[in-house]
Amino acid sequence: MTKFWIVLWHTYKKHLTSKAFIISTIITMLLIFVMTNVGTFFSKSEQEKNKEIGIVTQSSKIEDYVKTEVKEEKKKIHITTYSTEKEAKKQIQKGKIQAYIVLNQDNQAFLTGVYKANDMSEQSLLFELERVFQNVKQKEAIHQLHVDPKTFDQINKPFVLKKETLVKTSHSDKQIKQSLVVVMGTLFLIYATVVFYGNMIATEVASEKSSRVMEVLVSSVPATQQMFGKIFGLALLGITQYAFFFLSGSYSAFAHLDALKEVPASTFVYGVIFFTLGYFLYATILAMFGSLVSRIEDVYQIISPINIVLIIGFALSIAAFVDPTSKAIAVLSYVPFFAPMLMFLRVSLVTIPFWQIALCIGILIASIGVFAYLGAKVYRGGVLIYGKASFANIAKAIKLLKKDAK
Amino acid sequence: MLKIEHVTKKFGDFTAVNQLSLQVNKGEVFGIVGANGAGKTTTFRMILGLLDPTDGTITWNGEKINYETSGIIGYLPEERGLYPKLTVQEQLLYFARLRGMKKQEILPKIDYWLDRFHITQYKHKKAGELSKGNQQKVQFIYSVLHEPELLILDEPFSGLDPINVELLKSAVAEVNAKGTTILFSSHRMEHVEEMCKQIAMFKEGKAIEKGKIREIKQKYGKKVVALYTEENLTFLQDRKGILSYEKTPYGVRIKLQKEEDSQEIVKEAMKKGFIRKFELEEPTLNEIFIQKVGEVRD
Repeated sequence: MTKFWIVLWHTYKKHLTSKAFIISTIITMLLIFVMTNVGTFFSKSEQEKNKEIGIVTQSSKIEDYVKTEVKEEKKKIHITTYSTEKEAKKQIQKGKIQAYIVLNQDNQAFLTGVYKANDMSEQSLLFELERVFQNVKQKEAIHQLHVDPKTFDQINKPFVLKKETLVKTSHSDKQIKQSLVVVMGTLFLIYATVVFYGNMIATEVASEKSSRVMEVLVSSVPATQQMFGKIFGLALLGITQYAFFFLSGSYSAFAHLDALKEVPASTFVYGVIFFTLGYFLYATILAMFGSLVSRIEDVYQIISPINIVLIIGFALSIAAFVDPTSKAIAVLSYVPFFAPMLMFLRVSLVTIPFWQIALCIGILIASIGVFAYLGAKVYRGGVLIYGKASFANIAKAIKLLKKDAK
Repeated sequence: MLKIEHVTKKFGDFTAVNQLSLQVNKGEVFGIVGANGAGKTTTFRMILGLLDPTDGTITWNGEKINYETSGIIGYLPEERGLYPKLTVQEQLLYFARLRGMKKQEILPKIDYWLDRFHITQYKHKKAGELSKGNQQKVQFIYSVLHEPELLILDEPFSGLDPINVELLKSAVAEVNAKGTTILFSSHRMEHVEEMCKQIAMFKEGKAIEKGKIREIKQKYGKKVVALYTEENLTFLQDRKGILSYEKTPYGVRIKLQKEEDSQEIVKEAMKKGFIRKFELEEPTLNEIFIQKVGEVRD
């Protein structure tokens, strides 16, 4: 067992101190930090200055409506009124205002306007102004038609569709909405981790073969301990890297923590369980495949079937978002390769009996066991085979270890 | 004592090792020679427990070698290498720790061996930056760092220049002097001849010849006549009973079918002219090997 720890620590340290790892981690951290805080940065810089907008109207009543609306809705807009368009144009040339709106009162539409500016690119400003003038128009209409504002409010109230689930343990609508975010995030994390770290395991094994240190290693450490030392070592590396990623995103994450408070704790627990099982399932298979090649260039060729299976699993889980209760998805969620993604999705979004979850976890653990056994066997023989990469090597590797091949 | 008893290894229809029995006594240097594919590496892998024999048993001091005993075994495989991105010290530490040593015990030994091979300056250099010869020295160090009881060297000299071959030979002798039993394979008969008393010659998975080099040579008799002369003796080329005729700087070297013919040949040569000196030589191991294995391979 001590050798397992030596291999684990060696694998972990070797990658942790590698330039590629440090650089990619730092770049990703920066990226995460910028991405998660990009909204905050922009809104902060926008806070500093109000937009200078002019309106051209002769009506002091309309002017009043506009200014009240802007004030009440706390828009970052400053309104200046001009009586003629000529005057407003002059202000634009001077740079005092960035745009102006010529307002016209008309009997049919109550109030119309023309937005004039040198630059039409500021979509968010246009959107804000449209909302302001929508309300101003309503006020004007209420005034002209002599409608009681209270009556108008009642008419204007949106239709409320309340949702109640009949099953007691079922997820509420709000829960599902918030869970979706967590589920999507976790599924993506499973996918990305297997692609990145799984391939790293295969490459790690193949590189030890291609640098010819493998035979010395297998003569001192049992193949199983070596294989799992690597798998756990890289898992530890992944945890370290994700911890750094989380750290860089935490500033923003804690600010939005309440957005996830409706997500049941079980979703997170299952997330961890299926993530872990998924990693170990794929890692074991990829380590086995990595042991079959003797050159790093051949790694991608031999593990591509596994990557395709993984992509299919990911595609299925995206399809499952549309209808998580589908029978086909339910059946597929017991297939070991898809189970980590599909079963986790079902657990989080659909109410399913506990035995189904337990069965699925059981299947996963059993298949990890099978692949670990098979993997260790192939690994032990595979590392002694040099030459062309091929799946026939699986049979060759097992044959190599058989006491009596006849 | 290493005991290999009636060991057979089959890969499907192919028999890699066939009814092999060998005994290597403690403290001995034992050489295994054979052409490529003769079963040397397979035998080593079976001794180490990397492969299970189809039949027969292999024991070291009466016990099977497995991962519990891997600390007392040193192995330099034919397919050997280093982690290109780790420093010399880092990888030596890793390999020695996997053989069950503690870090504090390893460090002084690393210093000793690096100094022994004059490569101390590369201690903190990445292995990928080292020359091939220096890499091979580091590889040898990882097989002996933990002072194994049994050291298996598979083609230790392949690819080394003559100076490094000498350096490595003396290191092997040093390890042996400290009590390590050494089993090694080589294509180069002169290395084997120089380093071991006992050998086994492999052909198609069988030990076709084994025992003390002296005895093997005696068995083959003195079938080489070296004639020191300036005369032209080419007429001997076609004579009955002559296997080969070779011109040397000092004269000719003639291989015979039978030792008894030697006297006749010398007489015939003397009739032709002046022979300064003649000698009956033992065959070299190389000659025995070529004769037995039947083809030249290196």
